[in-house]
Amino acid sequence: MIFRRHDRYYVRQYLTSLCASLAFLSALVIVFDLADRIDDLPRAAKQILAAGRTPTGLLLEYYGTLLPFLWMKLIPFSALIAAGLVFTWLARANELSPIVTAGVPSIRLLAPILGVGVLLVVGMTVARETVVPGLSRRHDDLHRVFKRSGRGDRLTDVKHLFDRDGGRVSMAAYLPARRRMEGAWVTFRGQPTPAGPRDVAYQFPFLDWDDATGAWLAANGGTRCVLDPRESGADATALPAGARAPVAMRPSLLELTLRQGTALGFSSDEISTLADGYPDNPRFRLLLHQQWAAPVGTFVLLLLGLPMVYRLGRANVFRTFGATNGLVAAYYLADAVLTDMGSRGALNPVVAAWAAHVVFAALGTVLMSSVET
Amino acid sequence: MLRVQRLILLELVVTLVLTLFVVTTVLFTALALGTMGRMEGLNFAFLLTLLPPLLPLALSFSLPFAYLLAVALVYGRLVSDRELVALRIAGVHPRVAAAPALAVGGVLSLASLVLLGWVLPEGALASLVRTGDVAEQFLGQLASSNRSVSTSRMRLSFDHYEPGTGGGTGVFRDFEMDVRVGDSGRPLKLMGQELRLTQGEDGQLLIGTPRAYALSSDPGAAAGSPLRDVGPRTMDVGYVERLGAATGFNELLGASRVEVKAPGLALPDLLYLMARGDTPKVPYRRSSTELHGRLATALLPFLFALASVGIAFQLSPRARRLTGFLLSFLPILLVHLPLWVAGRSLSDAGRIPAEVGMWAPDAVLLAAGSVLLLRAYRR
Repeated sequence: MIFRRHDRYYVRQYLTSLCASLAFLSALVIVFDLADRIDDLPRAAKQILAAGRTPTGLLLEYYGTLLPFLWMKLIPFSALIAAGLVFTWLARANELSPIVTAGVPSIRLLAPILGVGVLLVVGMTVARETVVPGLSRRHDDLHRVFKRSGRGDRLTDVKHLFDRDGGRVSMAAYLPARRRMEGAWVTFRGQPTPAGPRDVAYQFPFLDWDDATGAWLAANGGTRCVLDPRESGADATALPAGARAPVAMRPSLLELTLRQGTALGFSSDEISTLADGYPDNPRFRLLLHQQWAAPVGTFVLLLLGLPMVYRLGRANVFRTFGATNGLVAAYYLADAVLTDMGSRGALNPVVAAWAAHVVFAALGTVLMSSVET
Repeated sequence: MLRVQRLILLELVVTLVLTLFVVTTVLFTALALGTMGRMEGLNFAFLLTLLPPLLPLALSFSLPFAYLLAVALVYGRLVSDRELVALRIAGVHPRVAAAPALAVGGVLSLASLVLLGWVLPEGALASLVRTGDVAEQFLGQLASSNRSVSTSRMRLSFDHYEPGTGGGTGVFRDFEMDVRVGDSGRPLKLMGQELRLTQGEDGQLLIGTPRAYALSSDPGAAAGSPLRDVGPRTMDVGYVERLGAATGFNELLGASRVEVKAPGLALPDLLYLMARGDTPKVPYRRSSTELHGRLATALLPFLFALASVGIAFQLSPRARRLTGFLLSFLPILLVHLPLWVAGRSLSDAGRIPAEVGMWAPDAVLLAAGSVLLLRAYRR
């Protein structure tokens, strides 16, 4: 039988510790965030009530949408902490040495924990692709409600955007649900005109995306100005209602661009859209590879940590803790340095995303072969 | 001190150090990620300078919870290894076993008071000053590769930036800048070939442009207004020959003065603020809530220890290893936290006195812990 009784026992112990540690850390982070957020709540209350919501309901949804993202960050730590707790307790209660003495190799005892690690990696990968992106968008909207920087579904902190067709797009606000730009400007430099190259500015009170034509249309019309460098003033031309705006950026790319600073997580499709929209920015290619590489970190941490925390007898807690932390810190440091190099384009994105995991997984495998047995 | 108390004390301190490290690391990471997320586009060196003041904040918050975890783990182990039963059989009163946890809790409460009363406000103020330094933030954003930067009142994009020889000087080529002018806050778009960033004699950063277009649209078409009359709007086009070389950079970018609020005040200053009563900027109820909140929070390590030891003494040695931890943590999460949130909100709004709002959660913990300990003593 592959999954023996002692496997079930260890897995049960491990899962209990994992859940407890995850719950404790999640609760801690949420309480901490709540302590900070609680001051915003009375100020945002009027806006919340006007939207037909209660502050309590909003808080619950706010943290409900935060939890999956939080778990993506905490699971690697929790997996390691749980392994440390379980094997320390088992060793103290002399529950390991009898089984090893009975002929079960130590590596066999660790196998079910590594199996749980693999399942966690698969689960995290699936969640990052399915659950997290949608919740991230919702959480971003709720965050905006708390901070009173918009109605939630109205993005007002919009930077200038460089369009694929050479225009520079700016707007007062963007409404993702309605796919509408408010107070939009589109400017072009050195456009060919009969009088020679001139700067041209378009202004639109509103721009709405039209699926049929695949373009941004000015429902309320607009204005086109050719700016003359020799004189004050410009030739302004009125644009009719329904005029097509010279903006190539599609709503999907626009929304992702605007949300990228506050997003908790994107799916790989969304990251691909960003990577295709901004081919000069190496960060998105790196993110695409990290989407798959990041969950593997949980398994790598277990590979590194299990040989450290697994002892048949009592071990020096401080030494074990220090060594494990040192190794984990080195792993995270290497990953951070490589990520920074990758995002600057100094390193191939595949190498930047995977190198630390591969190197430290190899080290973990070597350490695993040296466990006490 | 009895030998058994020394052993419990040692185990408590070791576990506390380890849990404090883990919990503080997690909270500090969460804080650091949050700070970095809020300031997207800033260069890494500037972000690193924002992190040290966050450490006392993470530490002051993690201390009571790390201690709760340490007490739950240590006393849970004493129960499951039947060491408490052995002590009782040997005629040792349970208060002997409880004393180390309560004593360390008392010491940690004092440490918390120092942290919350003096260290944390200093850190909060340093962090506020640092994040309020808009000019430095702006320069940091130039490291961003997307050629587009923004602050609270301004948005700027440019084709490229040519750094000058001195710090904080350079030229933005083909720039476009949105600013709000005047009291009306009417948005104005400036477009030009060259935007110069220079440093004045007093070290203040200034911006100027030799020539630029100033464009503005009809404010009637401002965002959010209904589509009532379909048709073109007007666009005002002006010509800027010189843009405010005398304009302070921070002023243009909308940097506000750093105002110290109640959470940024040390305990003596907070007491002084309370003694002054209502001030134009800070109402009495807010400073009172802050003071009582800090004092009540400082007492948490002691109260958490009291409750956790009381719960551990009720456990059966056959209970699972994590039962003690869960039973200690759940009441905090399900009773203390909601009471604290409600108390803070109501006190802040002036609906209940701050003394009641901020101390009620602690009073519940004190009562529950005392009852549980007395029950254990009587058994």
